[in-house]
Amino acid sequence: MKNNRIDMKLSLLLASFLVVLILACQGGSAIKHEQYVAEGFTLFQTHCANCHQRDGKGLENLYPALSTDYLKDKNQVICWTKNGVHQPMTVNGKSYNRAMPANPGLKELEIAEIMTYVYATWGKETEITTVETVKAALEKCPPK
Amino acid sequence: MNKLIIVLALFSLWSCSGSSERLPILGERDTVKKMVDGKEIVDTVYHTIPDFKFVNQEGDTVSAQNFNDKIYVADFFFTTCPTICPVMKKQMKKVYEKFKGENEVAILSHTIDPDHDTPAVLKEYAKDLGVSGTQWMFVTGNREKIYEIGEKQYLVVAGADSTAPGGYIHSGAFVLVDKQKRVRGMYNGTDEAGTQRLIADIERLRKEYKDEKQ
Ligand code: HEC
Repeated sequence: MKNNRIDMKLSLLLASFLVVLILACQGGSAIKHEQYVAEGFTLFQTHCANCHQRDGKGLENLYPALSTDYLKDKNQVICWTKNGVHQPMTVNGKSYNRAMPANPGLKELEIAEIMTYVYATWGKETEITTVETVKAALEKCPPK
Repeated sequence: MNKLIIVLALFSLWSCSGSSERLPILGERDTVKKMVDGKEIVDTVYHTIPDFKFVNQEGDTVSAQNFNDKIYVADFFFTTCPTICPVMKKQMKKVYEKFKGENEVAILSHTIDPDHDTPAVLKEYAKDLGVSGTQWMFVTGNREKIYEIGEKQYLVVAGADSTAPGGYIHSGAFVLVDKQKRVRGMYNGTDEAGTQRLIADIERLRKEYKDEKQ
């Protein structure tokens, strides 16, 4: 009986500790997410918005709108961001086949920030895209 | 002969004032003295765009004659440009939509990457931008001639630069040319304010010509 009570107390303590921990971490990751989104926003304006536009809606039949059809494969988008892409695509019923340029100078952290911004804005994601995710995706990119 | 160099900045300030005055005439100007009826008068000779020969998106040769009796807007770009060109084209599209079908107004976009931007590539680009017909011409031609007309005549920067993204540097300016082929305004083609000022000035120029006729 006595042992049981101690167990109860202990597990209560543990549980509340866990709750505090989770709350604290959530707070931390929310702040990190905001930081990534802010940095990603700036990078997106510099490297992407000329073509895809600030609102991501693209330009006529020249540059496609950012669409979940292609965003759903994040690893592929990471590769395209770094290495560029040139292949037939269909977005919102319009076909595109114009080269998107590579960004060889973008660092892994910068790509992670751009992805975080893009997926927060057009993919409704609330988690950051980590540098590890970017690194792993880049290692598996098809050869140029 | 007296050569005067007009300070562009002064003029852009003047043109910013938004008054109903006539638009300034930009570029270098000369004055020549000549005798008329036994009296000496001083005439001003303005900088004008000389003749040129380029090929448009339809594969047709285009010269300054194609712009006789037209107010036109000139700019420089290339189809694979990753930086300011898409923004400029988005803005120029607004100018195009505004004056679509008006015989008196034309647009002349020069590629600064003629090796890549053949008439066929330009046609595809125009189509994808939603432009049909030739009121808006996209022209290609001899590389040196394009850079030269850009820098010497339209007073903008255009050229190859391996350090720039995409390999070329060029100005984001829209250049307004009147029916006498004189430069009447320079506008920032990468922002909305510049574009709206251009549209307003085209209207002003049209009015100048209409008033002159009466
Ligand atoms: C020079 C213009 C240009 C720039 C700058 C540019 N893109 Fe693209 N992008 C394109 C074109 C053109 C396509 C279609 C490519 C094809 O058909 O091969 C495309 C396709 C895409 C696609 C897949 C289709 C879609 O619209 O969902 C994504 C995602 C994308 N780009 C993201 C980006 C990101 C992120 C950046 C900034 C790092 C960027 N792009 C910069 C021109 C550009």
